[in-house]
Formats: sequence, C-alpha cells, structure tokens
Amino acid sequence: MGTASGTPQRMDDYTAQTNRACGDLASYVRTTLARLISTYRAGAVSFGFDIPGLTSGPSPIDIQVDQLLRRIWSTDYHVRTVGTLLVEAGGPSGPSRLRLPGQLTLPDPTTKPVTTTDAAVDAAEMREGAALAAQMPGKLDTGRAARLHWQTLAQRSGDPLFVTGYFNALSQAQLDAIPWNSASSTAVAAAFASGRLAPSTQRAIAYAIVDRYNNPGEIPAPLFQALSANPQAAANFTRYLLRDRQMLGYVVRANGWGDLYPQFREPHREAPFLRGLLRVFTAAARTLTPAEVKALADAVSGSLPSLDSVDARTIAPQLQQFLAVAIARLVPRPVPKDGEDYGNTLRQWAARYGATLYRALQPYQNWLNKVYADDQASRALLENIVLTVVGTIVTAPIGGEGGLAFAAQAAGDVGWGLASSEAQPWLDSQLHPDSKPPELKNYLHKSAIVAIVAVAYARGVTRDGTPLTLQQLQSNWALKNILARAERGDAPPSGDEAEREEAELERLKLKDGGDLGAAINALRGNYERN
Amino acid sequence: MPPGQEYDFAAADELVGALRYLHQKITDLRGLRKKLRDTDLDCVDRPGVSMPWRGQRRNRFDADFDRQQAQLDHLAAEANRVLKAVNAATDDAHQSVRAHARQHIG
Repeated sequence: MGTASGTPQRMDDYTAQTNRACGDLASYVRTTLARLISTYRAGAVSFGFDIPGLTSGPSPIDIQVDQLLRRIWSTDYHVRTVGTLLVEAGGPSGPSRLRLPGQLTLPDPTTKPVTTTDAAVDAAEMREGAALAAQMPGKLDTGRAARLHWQTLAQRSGDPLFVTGYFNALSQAQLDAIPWNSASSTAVAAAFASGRLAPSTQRAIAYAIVDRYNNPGEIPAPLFQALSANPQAAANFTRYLLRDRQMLGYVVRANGWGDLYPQFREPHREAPFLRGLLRVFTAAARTLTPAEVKALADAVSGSLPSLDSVDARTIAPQLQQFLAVAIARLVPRPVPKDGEDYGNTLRQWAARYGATLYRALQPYQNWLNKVYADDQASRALLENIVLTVVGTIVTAPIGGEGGLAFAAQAAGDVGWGLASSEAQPWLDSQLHPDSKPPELKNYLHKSAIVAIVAVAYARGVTRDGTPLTLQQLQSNWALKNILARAERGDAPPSGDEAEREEAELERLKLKDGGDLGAAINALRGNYERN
Repeated sequence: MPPGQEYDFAAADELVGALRYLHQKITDLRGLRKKLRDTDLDCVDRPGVSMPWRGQRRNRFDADFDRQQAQLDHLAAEANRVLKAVNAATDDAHQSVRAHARQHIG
C-alpha cells in the first residue's frame, strides 16, 4: 500500500469518452452487425460455405466483440469510480456526503489534483458500500426502491471493497431478510473473495443461510451458485466455516432441526441444500491447502444429516465430485525428477492415492449404514461412488506411463477391497500370473482392467437384475482376450473384431450404463497414446 | 450451384461493408483509449498542472488495459480475416452461378 494520486476531473473525462465510444460500438455490434451476420449466415451455410468466426467456430465474431466490449466498458468505468474515491479519501473538498443511485450524485470530480494513500482509497470505497447499506429499503423483494437498491449493488459487484463495506454494515436482522437474488448473491461472493469481510459478518451471513433454511425452508440456490463460480469466494467462505466448527456443523447438517425435531422435518429438503453446498466445497477444495481440504472432508463426513435412501442417492454425484477433487489435492501427482526411477515413485504414490481414497470413504460408509437399513443398498451406493471416482480417473485423458499408473493403481487399490472373496483368487491369478512378471506398462494396463472388472463384479452388474456369476466372467472369451492382450502389451483390435468383443461384453451385461465399456475404451485410448 | 439454394449476394455485400466498419471502429476505440490514457490519466499534455493517476488501482487498471488493447488488436484482425473469407465465398458463388448458366445455355 502506497501513495495514490490523480486528477479526478480528468479521470471522469476518460470514462465519459471511452464509455461513450465503447457503448456506441457495442450497440452497433448487438443490433446491426448481429442482424447482418444472421441474414448472411443462413444463405452461406445452405450454400455449403464454412467461415470460422461466422458460420462455425467456438463463437461468432459479433459475440466475441460484444464480450470484450463489456469488459472494456467496466474497466474504463472503474476509472471514474476511483476518481470519486480519491475525492472521498481526502481531496481538496474534504469528505463529501454520499448519496446513492436514484438520487445518486457522486462527489463532484474536482479539477484539482488529489494525493492520498491506497489504504484511504480502499476505506473510502468501503464507506460507499456502507452508505448503500444504510439506505436499504424496508421492502426488499418488490417495489421501485428495492429494484433500485439491487441494481446499484449489481453495478458495484465488480468492486470487491464496495460490497465488503456494504455487507459489513448490515445488521443480522437485515442479513436475515436479504433475498438471495443474483445481485445479492454475486455481491456476497465478491465480498467473500475480497478477504476483508469482518469475521462477525461472515458468521452473520452463514447464520442467515441456516436460519432461513430452517424457516421457511429456503434453499439459497443463487448464493451457492455464485460462491461455486468464484473459487476465491468459495475458498474464503469454507475457510470461515472451518474456523467456526459449530456453524460448519449447522450448515452441513442442513439445519439440524430435522434430526432434533423429526416432526418438523420436511422430506426431500436437505438434498437440494446439500447438493448446492457440496458444489461450493468442491470449488473450494481446488484452492484450499491440503491440510484444509483434509479438515473439510472429515468435517463433511462427520456432519452429514441422516437422509432417506432416495435423497442420499440424489446427493451422491456431488459427493463423488467433492471426493475426487479433495483426494486429488491430498495426494498430488509427483513430478518426475532427474535420475530417479519414476515408475517406482508413481507406484508408491498411486498406492498412497488408493489408501487415502479408501480411508476417506470410511466415514461415508458409516453414514451410509445409518441412512440405509438395507446393507446391500448401502454397499451398492458406496461402490457406485468408488466406481465413479475411479472411473473419472481412468477415463480422464492421461498421457505417459504416469497417467496409466495413476489410473491402474488407484483403481486397483480401491477396487480390491470391493471384490468378493469368491472372485478374488481368480482376479488375483489374472493379475499375477505364474509366468515372469510382465512389463510395467502391461502390468498397469491389466491391473486397471482387472480392478474395473472387480468393481463391476462386486456390484453384481446386470441390466436385467440377474446376478453376474464368476463362471460367466471366467468363460467370457472377450474378457479373456482383453486380459491376454494387456498381458502381452498388444495393441487393441479395431473394426469387426472390436465390435465382436463389445457385443460379447454386452451379452455378459458388463456394460452397466456404459461404465465398464467406457472405462475399457478409455484404457484403449490411453494405451494408444502411450 | 447446388439446386434450390441461393447465395445472397446483397447480404454478402452488406456484411462486408459492416465488417469493414467494425474493423475501423475497433481500431478507433483502441486509438481513443490509448490517447486518453496518455492525456487524461498520465496527463502528459499538462505536466505540472494535472497530476497523473497513480497507485495500486492504477497498476491493476494498466494490466487490464494492456490485455484488452491486445484483444482489440486481435479482433480487428479477425474482422479482416472474416471479411476476406466472405469475399472469397462471394467469388466462388459468382463462378458457380456462371458455370450453372453456361450449362443451361449449352
């Protein structure tokens, strides 16, 4: 933080001129150019012409220009804002009384130069936010005053300190009453991202979320969405919760009332709340330190509310996503170093990955046991989570031997625990034949396939409800071929042979919604890349 | 020319004109911002009278500004590229129409 200076009137002039030129061009692009492009495009496409940026490509030129102009407009607009802040922060006219949009007249840009400090400019911006908070209308969801209020907040949500000052100035009662619309939600996210929200404000916002969830049962969907879309905001919000474990418990239990007073519990309400919250945590896990991620994963698993099996199933995809991100952060992939046996490093690392995933899943297993009276159903859901996490790893585009090792070992370590004792000896014999050990690459490739088959088998994958027997697996020639090829390190087949193999796997009903087939296909792809 | 499909020559002409205008306007905006940054923000025109904008926020602004100017450059070039592609498509369509006409006369 140092000196800040400028000539507010000239800054005002900069914004006035550039915003006008930018706005004029933007309206030309949005109307005339967009119309001409769409008229021309229809004829050109039917005539067989393909012009990237016009008839094809990620986005047409008018859209690209429009998006850039929006960014330029707000960058240039901010210059005027800073000019007024310089005046506010100690310009020649002294601090002026702030009035706000609708009746907004910002302090007159002065012709005189101003010298102050960055810190004073920041403080002035927070005071502006506080001034808007002081003018919060009584009626917040309808009416002209409310509309104007949210409009002003939305306009300033690109100014993190403005929105921080705004929320810091609100009382608990006011926060409890704020509707989570897109303006208020984006502003909360920007305020969290600034890292300058007062601890009491952070707590008050979390309290408001829980309070309104309890009664009248509001799911703050726009707020969760805004936080997930802003990684720094998600991280800071989550960090606050990690410091305030009691609140974290309230939030993750999605109220706690359901458990304390079952008679008040409305079914199927926690699940959408939890899904939104888990998305925020997933976004946060990408930024938090490994220690914080671990604390978060533990806290989440320890606080999940009891749900019925229908609801538990609906939060499973978000849980899977959260765990996949969290574990990847806990056990990051090693970077090759000169002169080391990288294959060995990777094997050790992959084993750690598998072990970490397995440990992380234990508390969820306990939760599932509570949720499900039926053991089978609980096991199926856990296995589903594992298969998805492993499947994500296996099907992710991976390059080099390291990638394959990653897929194979992680799948192997986790899938192992799931295979029934009946199938284990056979799978084991497939993986570790008596003959001399295969090359590392072949071994890893094969171990991935075996692990996937193990998981599929443990789930008793069938599409029509009939159990999948060990005998079916053992006598399936397609599976035998796939394993033998992996053993020899042969390239996967193509054309008719590949189709016949797929048909055979299909017949075995191993293709459960494409999981196994997709995984094996991805492994083929990875094999080719290696 | 594929049967039943007509190339809209008038629309192509209008679009080419619009893209030329777009290219000009993007270049103008880029130039205006550069000029105003020198005068209004750096106050090179009135040294000692107006004080240049300085401070942490100015540094952040400059980073955004430079990136956006480069993006304006890029999109001006894009406008040119698309313009040339439309012209080439129009030429193709002309030839195809002439070939079609000769076939019928022949």
